[in-house]
Amino acid sequence: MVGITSYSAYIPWYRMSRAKFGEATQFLMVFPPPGERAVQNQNEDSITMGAAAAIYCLDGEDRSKIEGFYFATSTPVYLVRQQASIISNAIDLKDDIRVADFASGGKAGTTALMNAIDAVKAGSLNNVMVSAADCRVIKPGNPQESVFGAGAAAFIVGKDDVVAELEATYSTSIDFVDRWRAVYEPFDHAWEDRWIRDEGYEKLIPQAVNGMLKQQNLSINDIDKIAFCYPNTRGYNKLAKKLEIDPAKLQDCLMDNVGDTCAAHSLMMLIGALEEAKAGDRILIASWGQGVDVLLFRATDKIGKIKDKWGIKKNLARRKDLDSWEKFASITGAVNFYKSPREGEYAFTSYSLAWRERKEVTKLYGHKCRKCGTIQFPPRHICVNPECKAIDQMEDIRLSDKKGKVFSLTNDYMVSAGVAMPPASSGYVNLDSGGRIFIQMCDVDPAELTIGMPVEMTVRRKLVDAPRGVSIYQWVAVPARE
Amino acid sequence: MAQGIKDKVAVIGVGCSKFGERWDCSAEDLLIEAYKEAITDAGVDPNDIEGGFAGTAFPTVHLGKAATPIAQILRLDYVPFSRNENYCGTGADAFRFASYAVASGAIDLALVVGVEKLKDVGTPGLPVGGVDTPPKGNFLAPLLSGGPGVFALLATAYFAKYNIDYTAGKEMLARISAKSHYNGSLNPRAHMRRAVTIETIISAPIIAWPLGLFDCCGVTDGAACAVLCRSEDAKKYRDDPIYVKALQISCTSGAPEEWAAGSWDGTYIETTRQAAARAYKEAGVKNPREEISFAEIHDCFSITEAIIMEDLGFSAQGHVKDDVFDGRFHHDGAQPMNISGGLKSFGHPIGATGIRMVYELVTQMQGRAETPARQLRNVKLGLTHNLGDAPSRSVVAITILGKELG
Repeated sequence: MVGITSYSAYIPWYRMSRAKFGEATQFLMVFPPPGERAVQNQNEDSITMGAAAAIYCLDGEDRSKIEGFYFATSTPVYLVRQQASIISNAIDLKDDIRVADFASGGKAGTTALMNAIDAVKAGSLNNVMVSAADCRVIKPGNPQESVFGAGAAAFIVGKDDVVAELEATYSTSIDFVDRWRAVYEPFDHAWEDRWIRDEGYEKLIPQAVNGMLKQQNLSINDIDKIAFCYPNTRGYNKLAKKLEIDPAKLQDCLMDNVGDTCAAHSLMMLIGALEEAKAGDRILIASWGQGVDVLLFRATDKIGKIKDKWGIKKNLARRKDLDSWEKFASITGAVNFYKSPREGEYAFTSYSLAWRERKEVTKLYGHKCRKCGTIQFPPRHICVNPECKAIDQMEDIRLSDKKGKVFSLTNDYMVSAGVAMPPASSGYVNLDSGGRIFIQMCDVDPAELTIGMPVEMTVRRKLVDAPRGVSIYQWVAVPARE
Repeated sequence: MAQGIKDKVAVIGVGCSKFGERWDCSAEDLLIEAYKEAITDAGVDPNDIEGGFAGTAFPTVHLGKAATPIAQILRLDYVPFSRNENYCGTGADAFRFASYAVASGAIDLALVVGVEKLKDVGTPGLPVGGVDTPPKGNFLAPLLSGGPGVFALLATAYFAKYNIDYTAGKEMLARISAKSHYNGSLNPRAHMRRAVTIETIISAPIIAWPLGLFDCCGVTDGAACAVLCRSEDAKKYRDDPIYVKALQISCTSGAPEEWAAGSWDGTYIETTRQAAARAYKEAGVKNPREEISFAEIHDCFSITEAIIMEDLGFSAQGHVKDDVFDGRFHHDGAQPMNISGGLKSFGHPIGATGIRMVYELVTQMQGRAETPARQLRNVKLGLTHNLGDAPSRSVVAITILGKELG
């Protein structure tokens, strides 16, 4: 049996109500739908969110078993430089591993997942990780601005301890041009939403769903949980009714609380379904983007064993209101706001340096002294313990998976570069395992950042060295998940 | 057995430019301003200077990384001239090198200069990427404003350990800054010459929490000079030379211990303690709270001054607040601190600071402060203290000067 063995979602902690978008852009005759959307923080992009979901997914898993890592996004940071490698290196998967980026729109996530499962089925690989993340930015004031969301989903697929078996797939490839973005453009374009609705979703989704049912000789009533991509909740419910889907079996389409997360969207809905599934449940998921991928899963009797994973519910419960459109525009980069007089002041980015120091800077490894046992960061040749000072007696130790507590902190309003919404918080973290790290702290209200606060590590963008075309990533501390 | 530097070297002349945002002046102009005063004060013929020691920390903005531009500005042709850089200890370190040169007998007369032209970079705060580039370049250090952020960490740790709430902590810090602003208001050479109320200081915008605008020192242009000879030759130049009692530098090697492994509680700075212990031993000081008449110390931020008071032994550990509220460190208190106005108000052009502190000690002990209001009485032994880079990986320089031999 081949299928999903572990899953996790990631939703950034900022949410902004669509009413706030309405207030800011009603002069443009923009009247957003109800609800709110998730907003990527100022140092988040598809790479960091894809990493975050993968980090959650690795909770309690043996990362050395992973033989492949597939990453899907429609908001790649690089055209040349593999995103999947950046993430798989940062989260410390093996070097001898097959990786791939899946791109170009909303089907990328489901396509990556199907390919991972096929690779395991074919016997080429035993365990493959898939992560999908998206955070599209559109022109300020565009009605899609409040519709787009941000989020990520990650899975491990394999043969053992499968919680949901992939029973069947059905895909269509139709160049229906609802939204698009050329490589030289920063923002998506969109055609008229009424046409997209009537000729797109209303026809192509039923065609694909019915295609799958016919192929499998099933009726819609044989499905226990169903979700398909649709860009608003009202239309989603109406189309479900047309498809004669029992409302009790219809999954949350995540449009009123997360927003459209493109390549990650259908996979996030799949996680929503898995969270609630019982053994034996059939789950049907349909993605969207120049055609449709339909995936039919069946939950196994192991489905109960991963209920404590970070799925959709826990992510939705961890939230922080973003209170103004201006802050939204600044932190997402929709508007190139003034940052500080020091914007652009940072050291020269040296890739030979980063490569040499990759264990420290990319994977957050410290040292443990073989002689005295002291765990220390940053890694150095000579032991930091004044009683020891042993030379070259160090072994590497991964610190990215360690939790810790804030020891001292500051919220800095005069930061040097790359900060779209001051302050930047930083301080010392004492790791529970031993060792102390001087580190950036994110996703915490400055007023709520306190000494003793439990934290864990995640990957964030430190800054963009624009003249050299580099996004620099680093490990930061965020409040520990409970 | 090392003998120490005590009483071997004398300061026979000092000079200091007006400190401030000297928009009309280059580094060269500032240097000449201080140099003219120093050689006139010492009464020496520049042709007799046998060695030059220059401290600059942000040379790329103005002077380049060698000593030659400074030697050329001063027209000290073919004289041995060196430049050093050691974070905020830069000026004090130049003074140390010059003292060792004359003490060794290798030369008779040494010139020390420190200069910094910080206000040519177009941004408030210290220039980024100058001396403070971390070893891993862009890749790992947190985004910080530089100074304010890393020193704010001391304040949060100190308040937490001694159970000082935000309001009380802010007032303690505000009293320190108010004192320095008052002292600056008396000093015609100071950068900031306005007395500021405690209320204004507390309500100022936050720079790096909990530090606000008035908790941070100025970013300043300035230069300072000193002329040194061996003590036995000093009276040839003047009747009232000032003698070097101690010169100590402590560079962190324990610091990685402080920030990498985790035993440091963030309420003291070990480099200050180490340098102070050695300096007191070298100078023969047993009780610094009683014996050190006054000091110019590194108040880059108000919290730094508070912690330095404890690390230098001027206040008991955990009790600086009592001394601050008692006015012990005021100009008319028992142990005046930063009568110049300190880094806070006099200003902090990095390479010049250690040497302009020497200027303040010398002129105070010689009884020739510019105005009677700021002249301290009965000052016999003074101390300068500089602290470079972040507290947990710092360099500290301490100099002790005295009015009398022995």
